[in-house]
Amino acid sequence: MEASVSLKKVGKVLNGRSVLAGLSFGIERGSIMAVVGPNDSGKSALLKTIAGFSKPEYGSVFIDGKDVQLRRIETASVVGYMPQRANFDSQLTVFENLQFHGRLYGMTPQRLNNRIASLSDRLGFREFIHDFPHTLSSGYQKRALLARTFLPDPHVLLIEEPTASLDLRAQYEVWDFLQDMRGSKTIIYTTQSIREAERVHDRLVIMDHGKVALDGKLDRLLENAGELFHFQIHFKKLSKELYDNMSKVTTVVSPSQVGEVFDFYAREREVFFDIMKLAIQEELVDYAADKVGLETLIMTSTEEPIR
Amino acid sequence: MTLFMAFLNRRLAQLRHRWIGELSLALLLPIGIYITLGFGLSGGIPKLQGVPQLGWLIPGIVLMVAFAGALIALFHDLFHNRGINGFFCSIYASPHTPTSTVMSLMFSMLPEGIIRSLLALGILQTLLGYSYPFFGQFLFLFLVALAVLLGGMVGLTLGILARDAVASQIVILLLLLSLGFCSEWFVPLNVFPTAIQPLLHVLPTSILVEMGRDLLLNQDSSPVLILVVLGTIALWTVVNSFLFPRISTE
Repeated sequence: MEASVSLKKVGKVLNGRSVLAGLSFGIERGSIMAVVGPNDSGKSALLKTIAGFSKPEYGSVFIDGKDVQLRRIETASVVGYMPQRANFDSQLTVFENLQFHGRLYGMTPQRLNNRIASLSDRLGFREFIHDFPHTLSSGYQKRALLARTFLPDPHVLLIEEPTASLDLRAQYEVWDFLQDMRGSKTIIYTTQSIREAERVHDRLVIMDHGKVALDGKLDRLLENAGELFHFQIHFKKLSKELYDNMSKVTTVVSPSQVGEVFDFYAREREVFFDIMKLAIQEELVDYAADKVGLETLIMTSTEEPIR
Repeated sequence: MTLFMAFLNRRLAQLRHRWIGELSLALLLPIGIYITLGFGLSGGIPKLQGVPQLGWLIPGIVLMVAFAGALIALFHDLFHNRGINGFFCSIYASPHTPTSTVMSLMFSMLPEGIIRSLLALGILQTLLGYSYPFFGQFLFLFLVALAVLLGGMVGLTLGILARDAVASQIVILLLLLSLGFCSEWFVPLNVFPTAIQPLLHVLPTSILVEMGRDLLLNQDSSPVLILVVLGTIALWTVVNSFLFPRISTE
């Protein structure tokens, strides 16, 4: 399928620190891409660079084959960017803010008013539309912000944390709304919520220190990660000697001690029984064994954990 | 034009929400300045033939209202909506060049600035009990428009560059005070040392007020000097266009 957005060796340095390190990939038209990563992993910088208002130090970003730095006006007209924080004009009501935004994109008054009415209905904030943004809850501000982003009907949407600070019901409404756009809009969103990323994506990019740590569809990524299991064994008392002995088993991956719990990963289930043989004399409180999911995949792919 | 209309409608909406404060300021500010300066500086103001003495002061006050109104409004808009909530980032992300955005912002101040100045001119003539020639007043509005653009430019630059609210307000206060005196708005330039008078005469703000007095009081000045004002506005537009993208990186 044709790439809607493509990056060629894009690098960005902020305050002497590399926030994007030579990224190259393409995003298919009409697909939803989730960008996941810990704080300061470069998620936000990636979206701002694609939007064209953060200039990369090297490399180029193309939207519909047009360089966003060289042909910014053309690319800006098809891109909608939603920041993480509500950035309304506090001296205008939500309706006036939306009107202003529509006018910026040259929308006719009739089309503008129709779009405002339909989006405010769909996103459930119509009753607050004549209020000032700062008087709304952060959840309603987020909905209004989403409506503003969709107002001029852009076909590439760059959304930072679309459901942060929303209650569960509102999260479902927003995801329903975004899912409806699948196929017609290219949506790239950042999130720290692993569950959201697991649920809504055609493609998943895990970022760490400005680099793409993993890229692909979740089931493929898990497949490529191989058979990885996560074990937690809770002892009544986990001595240092026992911990050292268990950690030395060569098939144990990333062992750690959390209180009296021995936490480790392994490629085979049998490793669990090898460990239990070493601890046969110890009193066991509980144990847990899981096949690795996105959360553990991220934990093992990035240096810093995310929530 | 689309962008200009967007900014104009935005400004009108903002004014609609706080029209009482804006109207009070528009009515009281010129009266306040007129009374204060009229009492305080009447000794230093030149005597005029056939026109009440304080008639010399009014063009300066009106041009200051136009200049300061645009400067403060745009500074506040940029400073508040740039740093605190990042609203101007969403404007920068829209499909417009920094130059067209800067020019539209500046020109969107014109209707408000002209109305504010017309009100000031009307009120001050009533207080003075004297009416300037109608044609002179009509042409004077062109100078008012230039003062609005000039003030808007300064406000934009300060709004983009300012880092600290208190320090910026002090800078604006000092700037307006110094321009008020050094641009012949409130006192004639001959009160300054002879060495710096030629320099003060070519300040765009001095040129505007000298031409304003020429139109309203039939004094002599060269209309060619208007090119200095137009050139300053054009140059400042270019500078602001280069500065404007800074707001997107915050």
